[in-house]
Amino acid sequence: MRGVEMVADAPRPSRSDEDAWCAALVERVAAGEAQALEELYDRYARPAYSLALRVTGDPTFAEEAVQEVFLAVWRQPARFQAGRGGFGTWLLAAVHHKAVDAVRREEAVRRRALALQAVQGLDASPQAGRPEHEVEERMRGERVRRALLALPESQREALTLAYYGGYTQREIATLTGIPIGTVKTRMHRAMHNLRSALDDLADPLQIGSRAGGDAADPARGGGMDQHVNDDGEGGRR
Amino acid sequence: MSTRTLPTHHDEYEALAVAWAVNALEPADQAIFEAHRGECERCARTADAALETVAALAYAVPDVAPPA
Repeated sequence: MRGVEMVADAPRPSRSDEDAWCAALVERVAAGEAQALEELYDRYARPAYSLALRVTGDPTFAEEAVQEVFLAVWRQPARFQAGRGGFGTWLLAAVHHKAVDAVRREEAVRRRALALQAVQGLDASPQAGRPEHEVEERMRGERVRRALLALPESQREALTLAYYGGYTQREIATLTGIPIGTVKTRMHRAMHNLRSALDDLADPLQIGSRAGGDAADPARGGGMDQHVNDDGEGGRR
Repeated sequence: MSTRTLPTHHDEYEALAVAWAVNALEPADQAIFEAHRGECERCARTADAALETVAALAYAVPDVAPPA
């Protein structure tokens, strides 16, 4: 293993065709074209809703999270036009943030069970008749699940409780009876190992892949701060 | 806000970056990290890299169609 330090020099995937496609659509949204927003919605609503549903466990909350984020795309498309990260990465991060906010408001006891189930019992449903990008996403999901399952259980637990369960590190420490320093270390290692595993599984879909050589990207100025802070609804908790 | 002291070692910010990407920081730590990442290109890149990895996790959940 390569140690636990987290890729300070992380090269990013080069901008994919999909990113370029999304960027063009966001341009059109900025020009006030509702049809462009619909195309983005058609493309991303399903993975966004699936994620929000997993985190909140509640169809209403999940739908609200997705709607709020797409509304933000419509109202403030400039926030999505920054040069760093793909649109999908941004969108899913924003949906995750909304979903976590919702679940923390609810303080639902089921969060833990949901989180721990997140990578279990996932069937492979039929792919026939589905749009091609959904088939790709299913394959992508399968690779990520394999990478998650390959993590040591303690690391997987820390990461899934945070990401799918919406718990803070402190809450995870309380919940599991593990010192918070250990939780932090496990989460850090989990992220590192996951990234490595995804790199090893890299394919043309380039999830978390290392494009190499992309050491200094002048476009990476400050854009991702938009990612969740300035939505006027209180910050992360 | 908080009386929490700022991290004294850069590695601490690196660790915060990972937790930040999964929305797992307490509010005080979140504020500390977000202030830092605005000033530190290295941590901004670490955080972005973590976000990319985290986006992959979004695709590992059961696939459910949103209500029409």
